[in-house]
Amino acid sequence: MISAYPLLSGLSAALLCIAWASLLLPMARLAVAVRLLIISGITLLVMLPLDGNPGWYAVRGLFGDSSISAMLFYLAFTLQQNVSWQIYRTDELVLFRWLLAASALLLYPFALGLTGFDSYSLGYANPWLLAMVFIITLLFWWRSYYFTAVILTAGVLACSLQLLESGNLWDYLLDPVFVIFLLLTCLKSAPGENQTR
Amino acid sequence: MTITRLGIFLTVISGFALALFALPAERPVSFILLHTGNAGQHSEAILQSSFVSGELTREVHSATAVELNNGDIRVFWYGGKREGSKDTAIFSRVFNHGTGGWSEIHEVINRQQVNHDTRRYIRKLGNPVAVVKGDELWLFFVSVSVGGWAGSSINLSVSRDNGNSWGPVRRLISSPFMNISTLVRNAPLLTEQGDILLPAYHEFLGKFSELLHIDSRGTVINKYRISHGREAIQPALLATGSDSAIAFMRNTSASNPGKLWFSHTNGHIADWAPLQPLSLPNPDAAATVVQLDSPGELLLVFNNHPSERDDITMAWRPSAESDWQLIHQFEKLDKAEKIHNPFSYPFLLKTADGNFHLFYSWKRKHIKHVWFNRATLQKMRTSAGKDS
Repeated sequence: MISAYPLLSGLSAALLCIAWASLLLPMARLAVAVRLLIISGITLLVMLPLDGNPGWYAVRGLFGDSSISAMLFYLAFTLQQNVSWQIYRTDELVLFRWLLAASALLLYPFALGLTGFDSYSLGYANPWLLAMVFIITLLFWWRSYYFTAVILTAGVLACSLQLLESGNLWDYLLDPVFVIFLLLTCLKSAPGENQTR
Repeated sequence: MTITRLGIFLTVISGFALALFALPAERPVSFILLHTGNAGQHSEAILQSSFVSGELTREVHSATAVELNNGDIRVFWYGGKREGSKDTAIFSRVFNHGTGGWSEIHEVINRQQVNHDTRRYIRKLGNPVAVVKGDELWLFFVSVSVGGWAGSSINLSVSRDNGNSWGPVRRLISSPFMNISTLVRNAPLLTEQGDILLPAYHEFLGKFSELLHIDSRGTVINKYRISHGREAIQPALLATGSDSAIAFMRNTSASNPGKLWFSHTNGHIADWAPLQPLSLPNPDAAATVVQLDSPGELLLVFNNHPSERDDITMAWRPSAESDWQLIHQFEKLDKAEKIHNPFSYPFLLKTADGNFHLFYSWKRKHIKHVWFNRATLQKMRTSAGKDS
């Protein structure tokens, strides 16, 4: 379980903060060295103790744990934004964004008590949800959107191994902070993103 | 097909195949039914009360209690300078069932410990509930990192020595929305499969009740919704059969306020009937219930007013088909006193030796304990029968 290893939990929280900084700050206008300096500074801030506890305790307290898909996406986004490694394509990001937005619409209102139907409970050892995610993953693979296919597979595998504290598949595939992040990415054009492979 | 495409395809196929293979089977739920004895019916009547929370903290609230394997009663509550202050901690002490005396009060869990063990910033602690599971005592309690009680999450700590020492605190994950807005108030039930069904509730956007199905590792493996919308919280749960249960809930409704809510399962723990208002009032306040000699015979302690928590009253229902009868009033606020919600959060425990232990918040300054037995209960019923 990731939370059993403070370094992994800390790095996961640092990754979230770095990805958000990469999204909200005009990093593209800065020199690569300055970007790396900002990333190092955020990592230090999150990892070093403040008032007796590391900063990532506050990040976890505030936002909870990031999903596995989110962690991998944050890593890819940070690399794509700051060192121009092309890991996913713009059209892939658009489709993934739609998928996450639709999943969030299915998940959150019902999980928060809108009706008697609890969409969150579908995430407990449910072969039908697993089958649905499998079909979606195959569709992404078929369209050659390999990054999304890999992060969805990683989320499913991590749930089987219970790498997070949760035993619910939904918590490995998305989280509200990630959904907001992805929706906001449509406001940002990334230096490494383009329509071609 | 390129090597990359083939490689990713094989990764996806093998990843999902492994996940399917590792998928746990759905765990059935068969409740362990408590054998309700009527010990103490012919002994002398006992009705004693005392304050048990001491003077360690200025405010105390939300008492809960559990009968230990040796017959003693361990009571828990939270206290601090005020509700929600940073110094809130979970406190506990033990009632010796042989001598009738109380142990010293000790702090079981504080904010710093939860902060350290869960590796999260924690701002305050709240409602505890406990259950004896074999040789272990499991303590669930609420903590908040940001905001009010709507930002609550549930934590778990386990003791292997009847609560004298506690293991590391673990976080339960029960909501997809940053894991906020799940709270506990009433006692869990045990299943034949070794699992726990923990009555829980949400009070963020929705105010609703549910059951968390927790396995022997302390992981939430399923959940079952009792209500939805913004109507009912703090379910008090009773098993009426191996696969059936009933729940009484605090009424938080804006459109149908003032009556205690009731629901029951329809043949499966995941299938709950729509909420029904009882004849008993409810001022948006917690209630507590225990079974007597048959699944339908119940004792319920509650605030007997549609809008004020200025009394603590006990009602008795002889069978599922009968009406509720008010049989005793433990507290009633003097009209001259102007205190808002002075009596609240009752918790009633029935022990194997036929005694009853009632705990409740007394003007938020004390946890009051009332100890009575079957003989006293019989007197209360008889007296209530004469009055009516």
